[in-house]
Amino acid sequence: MQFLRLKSGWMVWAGPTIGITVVLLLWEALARSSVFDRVLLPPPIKVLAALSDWARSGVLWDDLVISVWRAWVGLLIGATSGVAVGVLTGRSRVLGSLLVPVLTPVRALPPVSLIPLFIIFVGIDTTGKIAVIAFSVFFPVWTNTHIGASNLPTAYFKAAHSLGLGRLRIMLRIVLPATVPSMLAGIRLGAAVSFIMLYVSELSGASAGIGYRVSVSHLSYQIDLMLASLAVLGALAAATDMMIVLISRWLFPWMERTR
Amino acid sequence: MIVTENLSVRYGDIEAVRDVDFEVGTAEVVALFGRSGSGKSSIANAIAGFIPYSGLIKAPNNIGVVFQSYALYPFMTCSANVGLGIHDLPKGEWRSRVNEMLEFVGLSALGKRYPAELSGGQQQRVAIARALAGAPQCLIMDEPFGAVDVLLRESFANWFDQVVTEKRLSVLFISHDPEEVVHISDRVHIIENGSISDTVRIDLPRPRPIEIRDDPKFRALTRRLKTVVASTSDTLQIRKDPQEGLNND
Repeated sequence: MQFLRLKSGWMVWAGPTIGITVVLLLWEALARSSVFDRVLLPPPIKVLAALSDWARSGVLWDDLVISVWRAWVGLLIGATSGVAVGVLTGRSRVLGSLLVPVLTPVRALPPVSLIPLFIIFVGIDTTGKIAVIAFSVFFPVWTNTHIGASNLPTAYFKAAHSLGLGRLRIMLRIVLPATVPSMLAGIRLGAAVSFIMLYVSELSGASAGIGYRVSVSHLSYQIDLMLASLAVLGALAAATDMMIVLISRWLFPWMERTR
Repeated sequence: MIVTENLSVRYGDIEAVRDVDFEVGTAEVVALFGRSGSGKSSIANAIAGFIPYSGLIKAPNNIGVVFQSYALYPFMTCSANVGLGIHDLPKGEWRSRVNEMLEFVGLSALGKRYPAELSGGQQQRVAIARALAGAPQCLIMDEPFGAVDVLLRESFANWFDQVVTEKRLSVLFISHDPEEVVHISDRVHIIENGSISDTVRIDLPRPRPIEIRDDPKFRALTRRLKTVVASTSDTLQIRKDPQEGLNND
């Protein structure tokens, strides 16, 4: 058993390292071959050099700070409102019957198509971008929370009733923690959506940000910088997801222990 | 003490329970015995206040309920589950009450564990501790041993007999297991189609150790209940057409 544990611990690091190395080697081989023009597909070492230049110039940090701010604030607002509305529509028949028919068709709209509306009503600056991200994050979080809250086992409520718990206590002690796994699934989906929308929102009306950097480097044929920007965007999304997982493990230890 | 008079339960057009009268006295265990769907759980649910009913139910407000599925909250430790119904107690008192209950069910070392980290039998003990933590006068147990294996059920019935004797509880016990019912109960009401069709008095002495199952009187009572189940299941058997499957054209 000790051997198996060691092996699984080793695998945690070895798996991703081997996977990433293989991809980089294949990329290097493809870049060196004559299949693609080297300008269109620069080798990883050149992308790394572009990333290094970008960092040394200090612009990377400015881009990172503004993008992280936009994505995380948008995610926080979208996730908080999604959880709150999801619990309410999932547990209240009145609110469910009022809001679900309104939210369902809006959820089906591609958030990108609503960007012009946000520009008109909220503006094109950082506030507008945060609003677009929050709006896009809201729906996956709301959907998951709503489904989770509305499908809790009846036995939970019977037991709570038999133990003399009031409505508020049932909501706080039973419904909210019981819905946590669904909420987290929605928040992780929402986190991925937030970075998609971050990129889209920074394509116009921005003078800094990772998405903006992808766009301007593409327009100026700096493919190495463009790939470096995309790598940073992906790493940022992955780090955010990992952060959500770590925070949820810390806040809800029972999720790990009841698996 | 629990008393029902003309208790009826309807689910839309279906009358699940019809004019049921019975009584559970102090320190008495009364079983509702019958096949699945006979209406015994509906009676328990009505008494516990989970579903609407017509007729009269006299029961104290503080009733402990033990569910077949345990209904433990997976996101709470065993201690938190046990202490959920006594949240109004001061912290120190709460802790000592929870510890007392966990000790009572023999799980004092497992208070910090989550339900999923316990065996089925241990989970059921936590569910019983939770139901008893508020010091109820009455206890409703709906198929409480239904999810544990046969061997564990026997030792559970033995253990529970001691609990009932010690706590002097009025217990309404729902089951479709004849041995379990005879081991635990003082009286058995047989439920068929939502009504009491027969009542069997279990005049075996208490406490009832596990060896009581070898007593001829115990066996005779069990046989009687099994006969009831067999006769009702005969009426429910689906008759198959002997020609079925042959006329394909």
